[in-house]
Amino acid sequence: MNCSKIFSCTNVNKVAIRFSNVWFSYAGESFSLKNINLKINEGECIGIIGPNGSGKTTLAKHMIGLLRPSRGDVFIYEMNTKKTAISDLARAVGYVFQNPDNQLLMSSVKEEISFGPKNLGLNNENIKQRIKEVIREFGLEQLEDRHPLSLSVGQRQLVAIASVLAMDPKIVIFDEPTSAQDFVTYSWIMKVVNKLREQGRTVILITHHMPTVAQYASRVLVMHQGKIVLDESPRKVFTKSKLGKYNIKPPPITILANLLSSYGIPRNILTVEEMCKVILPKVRVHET
Amino acid sequence: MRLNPITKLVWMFGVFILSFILSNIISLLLLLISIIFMWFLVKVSVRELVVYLKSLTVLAIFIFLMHVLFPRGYSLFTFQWEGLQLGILMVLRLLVIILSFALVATTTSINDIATCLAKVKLPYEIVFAFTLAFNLIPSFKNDLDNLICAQKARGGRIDRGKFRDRLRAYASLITPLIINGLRKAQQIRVAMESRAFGAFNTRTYISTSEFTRRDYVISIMIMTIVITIMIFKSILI
Ligand SMILES: Nc1ncnc2c1ncn2[C@@H]1O[C@H](COP(=O)(O)OP(=O)(O)OP(=O)(O)O)[C@@H](O)[C@H]1O
Ligand SMILES: [Mg+2]
Repeated sequence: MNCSKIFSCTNVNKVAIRFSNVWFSYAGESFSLKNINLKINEGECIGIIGPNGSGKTTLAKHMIGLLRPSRGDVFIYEMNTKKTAISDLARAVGYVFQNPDNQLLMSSVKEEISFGPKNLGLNNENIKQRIKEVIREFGLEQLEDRHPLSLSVGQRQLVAIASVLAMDPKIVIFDEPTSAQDFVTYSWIMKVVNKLREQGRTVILITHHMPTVAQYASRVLVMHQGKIVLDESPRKVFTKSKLGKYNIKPPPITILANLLSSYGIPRNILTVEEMCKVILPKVRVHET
Repeated sequence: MRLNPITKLVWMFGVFILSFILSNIISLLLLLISIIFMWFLVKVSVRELVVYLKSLTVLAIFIFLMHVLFPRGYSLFTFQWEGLQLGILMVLRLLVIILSFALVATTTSINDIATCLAKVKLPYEIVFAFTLAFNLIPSFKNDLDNLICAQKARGGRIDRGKFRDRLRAYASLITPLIINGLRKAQQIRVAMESRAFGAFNTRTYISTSEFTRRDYVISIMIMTIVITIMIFKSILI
């Protein structure tokens, strides 16, 4: 899968998110973000990786104004987050929290999903229409009237995502959306991510699962101790020899490719599909 | 130098009593200086002291002005020496009480106090509930902050708009807060039981929190000083 192909038709030059010399510290702590400079174009799919405590969530919260820089500025579509209310930024940016329990507010799934659209001030017909679509899309028909906090972890995560997407945001931030999910929920969430990408939305994906980044991201930011230490395509990032220094391990298939490089396998393989493409012809040759 | 929490409490109540029976500016000032001296002695960062002083300024100024502008037994806005004196006295008292309390609070962990409570044979279940409640306050605050963030992130205007709307927005936080709280309590219960809480009647403590000879000496000294001053005061009057 290749992001650049999908987005060759969209306007790639419009800047969606811009960080300019951003420093941030939580009250009384040392800096959690150190001199971040970053430009994210509309339609990019950004993977953010880095060890625990490296500042990924802190960075993401700046993209919707939940945190504001101690020094420097963050712009969302040229709106300075320091001068814009979060409720206005929320029209452009959707944020799926790291822990769905922190995000579920209402007493039924249906109300939960309608919370955002209502705040946008849409008319009733529009809201109803949108909720219906989202509920069908996420297969939540049976759970409509349940209390969100009474659902399973996976279902809660789906409701959290659905309630963010119901607002139709141009930028969607996922903070570790798949970390406690089984394979079915994982595939479901990644299908949603894919669809958002195809619609030309900007997707920010924070995860510790490298194969996901390798497969879905068009660009990877590696964070380490509050700094962005690498900012390149996944193929370039995962073949860097200094990844170990940042406590990051490439996807298993890339490690395997590295081990097999003396057999003529390229080192920069990112997905199982790619590996198959390279390895199957060789195996067939061997068999005959 | 680590003192037993009980010694610290003795010191704090000693200071409280003194601050009420002393009623001239010089002696209260001396008391205040001794407390500030203690702050430096225990090496709590000066920044923390400044934070406490800053947060007290508004209240101190208010109390001072009240006494100067509305002196007791006189008509309003007639300047009286007594009013001024009383104003200064009250502000000094405020500083003495808050700063001594703050000093004990910043240098004593709730766990130390709990160990002491257990020492005086309070049932451990009660002591534990007490510490747990204290330790849960920050986590509760954290939950609340997160929920407010979640509302804002989906366009909620919890900090803006009409008073009635804001009230409603805050009210809607109560249910998830309680549910999350109960859920946490239940998890804690399971975690406690799975680590054998209450399995044996005799429980070992890591920090024994001995009441040493030094603690005896210091406590008795403080009590002696306080009682002496009390007696002197009553003789003089
Ligand atoms: N509310 C807070 N108050 C004080 N410090 C915080 C707070 N939240 C995070 N930090 C600190 O900021 C740094 C970055 O934390 P952050 O949550 O952004 O890391 P992360 O990369 O998202 O980690 P993880 O992979 O564990 O989610 C850490 O050192 C953390 O201790
Ligand atoms: Mg995080």
